[in-house]
Amino acid sequence: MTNRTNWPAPTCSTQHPVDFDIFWNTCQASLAPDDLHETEDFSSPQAAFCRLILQNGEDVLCARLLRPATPTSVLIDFHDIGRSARGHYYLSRYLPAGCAVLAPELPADAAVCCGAPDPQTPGGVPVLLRTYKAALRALRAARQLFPHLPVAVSGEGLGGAMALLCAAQSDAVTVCTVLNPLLLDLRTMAGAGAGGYYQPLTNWFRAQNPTRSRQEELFCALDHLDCMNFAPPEGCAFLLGSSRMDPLSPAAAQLALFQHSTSTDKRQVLFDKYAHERVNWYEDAQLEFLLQHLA
Amino acid sequence: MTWKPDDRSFLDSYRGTTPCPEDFAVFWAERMAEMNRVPLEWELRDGPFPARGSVRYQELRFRGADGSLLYAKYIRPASEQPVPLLLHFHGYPGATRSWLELTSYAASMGVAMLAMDCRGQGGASLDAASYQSTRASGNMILGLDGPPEQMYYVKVHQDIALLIRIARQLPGLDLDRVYVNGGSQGGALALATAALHSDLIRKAGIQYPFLSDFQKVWELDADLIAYEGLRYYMRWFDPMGLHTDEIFRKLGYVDTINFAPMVRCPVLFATGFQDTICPPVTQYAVYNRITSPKRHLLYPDFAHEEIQEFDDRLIRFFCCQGPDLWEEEEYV
Repeated sequence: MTNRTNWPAPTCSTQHPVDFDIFWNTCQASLAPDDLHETEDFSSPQAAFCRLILQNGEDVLCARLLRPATPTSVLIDFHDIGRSARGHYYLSRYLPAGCAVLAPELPADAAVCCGAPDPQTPGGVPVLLRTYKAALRALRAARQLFPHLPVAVSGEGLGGAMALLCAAQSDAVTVCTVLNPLLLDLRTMAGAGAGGYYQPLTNWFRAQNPTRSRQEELFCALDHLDCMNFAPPEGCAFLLGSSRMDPLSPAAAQLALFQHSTSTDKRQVLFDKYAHERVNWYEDAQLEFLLQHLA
Repeated sequence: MTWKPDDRSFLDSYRGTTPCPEDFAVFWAERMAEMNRVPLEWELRDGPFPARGSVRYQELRFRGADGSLLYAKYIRPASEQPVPLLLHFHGYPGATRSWLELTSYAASMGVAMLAMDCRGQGGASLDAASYQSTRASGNMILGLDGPPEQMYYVKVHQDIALLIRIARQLPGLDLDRVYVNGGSQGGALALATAALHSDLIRKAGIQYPFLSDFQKVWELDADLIAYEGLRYYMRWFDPMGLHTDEIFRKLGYVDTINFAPMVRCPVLFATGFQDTICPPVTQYAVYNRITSPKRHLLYPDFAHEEIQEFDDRLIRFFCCQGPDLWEEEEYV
């Protein structure tokens, strides 16, 4: 909550589908097992810096993996739209908290990700659902590689959605740190005339459904992917960083997401004059949070 | 102007346009000697995070020669053995990055890291100096109307000299392995530090250095964004270009291209060809003037931005202790 007058009231249009739990249970159950192949790029006394391939059939998911000698937790770092997984140097920032680090290369190209919708398919946008499933595969791999270790998840933007998904779907996730998650409040963000990241949805409506008569059908499907429905539960410590000027992750919805989380150990940090960008002070809050909960 | 890798034949031979003052070496020897006479006043305290995990976070506060209160972040691995020290410098006009981001040095390389906030910019270091010049548009041209020893970046280099004197007193550091690193302004400061303290600095990781070849920047009309102060100054105080020789000669005292020949350590250097803030040609001028062992990594599709492949290369560059610094991947 905030009493700053320049922040909106918490509000979000997302609905909670009645079949939400069944939907995600089915998604998880339908994931084919992955074979894990690990190779080392190089090593230092601090860690082995590796590449991991998750393969089932022709579906390949690549990831970076940092293995310290004696990890006490595993952290999964999910990247944002329009970029690749972070490099070894970046990911090493989590090592001092005792973490092994896994960073999957999500199929999250900015142009493709919010791509061609199909309201009749699960989730409403097939490429998006594939991205979400990749996050679940990464979570499964982390638990296979480091059984019995607590899992932390971290992400910005779309990576934030992946982190929230994992936190909501698995009791093994005990810490979730997120900055400006998207996709959030899709019913508002993908409404009539939506541009930018949501332009592909607008283009689809213009071409296939100019009167938007199928909008509710699509939004009902997209509700299954909306971050609002992945608010971290009671057993997961939750840090949310929110930029008031972020055009992709609305401030009002982020406030609502934070309120909605039933986590008993949660913190939100607010940044008035920041947009969809890295924030030094979020990172400092994140470090403090991770050290407090993991080290 | 955009550059392509095809322009290499020109770029590889280009050595800069900004003149080098005749007394450059003497000038800087005197500036460093001044700092050796300054009584040190400093304090090291626990940082904002608990001593948990495998690194320690501390804050260093110290006085500049003119009384300015200066600040640096200090992050070091929890180690019984002496560890190398890396001096990291930040971009312009900014501040040291987050504690989390800077943790990567200790975490990936096992080095202690000192990162100073440049006085009067976006961090915690204050600037008590008075300058003879306009203050419009940032610190780059501060002091340009006065004697060269009073210019802003001369003071920054003197602050760094004091920082190094303090670093020599910190326990648990292997002073035979002191390195420098930075991007943009940080790259310029890192390279100049390697030049001014060539007896101490053993390796330099330099990324798209700012403060390089000022005259070329001006001639290219690239005096925008980070170099904007130069355009303001010239428009207001030398609109007809009657004093460019004098102005660029004075800026020559803080131009990275003039520090480059003084560097003695190996240098790993990165340039993004789409860089519109620090023109690649000015970076080449710096690189081409370095006479110590060096490698230039080119990233054709990258601009003035994080280049994570270069960051990952730095891990191996700073960790490698083998005789073949560039090819061998041995770690100590």
